[in-house]
Amino acid sequence: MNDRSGVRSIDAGAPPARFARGWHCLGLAAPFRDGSPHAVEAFGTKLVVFADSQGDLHVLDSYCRHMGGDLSRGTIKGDSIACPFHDWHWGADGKCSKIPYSRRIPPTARTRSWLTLEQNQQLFVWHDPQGSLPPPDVTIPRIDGAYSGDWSSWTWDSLQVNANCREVIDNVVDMAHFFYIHFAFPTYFRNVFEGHIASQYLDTKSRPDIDAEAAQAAQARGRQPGNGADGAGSQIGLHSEAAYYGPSYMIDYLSYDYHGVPMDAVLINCHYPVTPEKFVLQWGVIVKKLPGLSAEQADKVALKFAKFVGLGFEQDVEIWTHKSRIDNPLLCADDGPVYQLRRWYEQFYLDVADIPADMVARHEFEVDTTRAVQAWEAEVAANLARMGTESA
Amino acid sequence: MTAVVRQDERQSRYCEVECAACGAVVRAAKFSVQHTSVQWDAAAVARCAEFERRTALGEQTPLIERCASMRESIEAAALSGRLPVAPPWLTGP
Repeated sequence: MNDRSGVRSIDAGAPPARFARGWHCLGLAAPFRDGSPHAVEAFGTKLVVFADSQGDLHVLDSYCRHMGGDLSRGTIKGDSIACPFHDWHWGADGKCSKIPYSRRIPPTARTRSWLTLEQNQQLFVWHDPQGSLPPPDVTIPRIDGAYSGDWSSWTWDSLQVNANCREVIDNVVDMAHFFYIHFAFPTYFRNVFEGHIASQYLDTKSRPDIDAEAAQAAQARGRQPGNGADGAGSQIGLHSEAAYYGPSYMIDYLSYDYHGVPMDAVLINCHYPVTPEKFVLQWGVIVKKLPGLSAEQADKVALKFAKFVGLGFEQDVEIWTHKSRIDNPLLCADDGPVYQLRRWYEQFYLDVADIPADMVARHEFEVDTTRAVQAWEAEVAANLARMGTESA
Repeated sequence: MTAVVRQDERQSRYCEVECAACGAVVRAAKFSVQHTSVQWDAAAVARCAEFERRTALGEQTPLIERCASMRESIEAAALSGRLPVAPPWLTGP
């Protein structure tokens, strides 16, 4: 990797030509049930999502196989989606169900119908370049809080990112970026990869320098500084257990301290590819209602938390859209298992028969945070000292 | 398509560690006292007594953070010097 003068070179590689096999979340299900067809650009094409007369959601390729009309610009008629070009009707199974001006439907009039799943009030499609159905154990687990009146409603946000989606996957193992990009202070960091699941166990403590900065900014705007609950940045002793179920859907169970009260939240971090060089990143939050908190107040807490998460993702995107793709990261001893994670992730780009056993075998990796904690404590102290001087 | 995935350049001396509780064998490496990397194979996961007990109660092994007994066995191996605790070295040109 280093040339004769000892200079390390970057192997940028190239994004995979095909898209990952797995369940991909397209968003919250309810907005798709507004009576109109919805376009989703994904997997190198355009999909149409529509609800039938029972309210069941279906996903088809959006380009009509007749003359290429865009079904997402058409109309839902009964249980079919009708093309705006010549009114060909397409059913949930992908078969043409009606051509009003013709006596006969060609036997070849069939388009791609995508397998869908609704779970946690979200809509998923199954993508598989081999055209197979998902094995029973490869599914999206139910989040109990999403079905409980003791929890808030989902927040939901998205960003389009001009990069290959491997960038967001790398976050699973990237301990140090949580300090520099997400205003967090990791003290414990561990990964487990096994089968189609990749987990991250993370403990963080608060960043008094970030809170102080937020307070200063608030004061500069003539507002009460608040105590950071504004930004969830003040969480003390946040504990996070996150896992990717397949290539694109992460559930993150978080517990943290909110004004001295233990809080539970669930964060969804998911994405779907648009092209090999573009993806849509989505995140949603629910929080458990504190005793005495109304549904509206709980929703507000969730929105604040989602906003804080969003700030972190915006900083991720700033990095991703300017960085080089790199297939040969140069790691130090205190980095996480980037190569092992990427090896786990590669399974979703291979034919099932080609996945080697050791690619999906259990791997555990616990990062040593000792040195990082020392360095970051010094940095936080220096930041606080600087802010103290500036405001004096 | 076949897999062409790079290996971690941080080579370390992976050593076999046998769990004192159930006899499952994994390959472990330690870059430092706190760092641990553990590679299991399917046989070890199937043999692990803690995983067996917990999966019987409905848990999935990928969502189990660790086996406490295996961790103890790895720490004991490191303390006794059977498992070297050393920073990784880089291979290649």
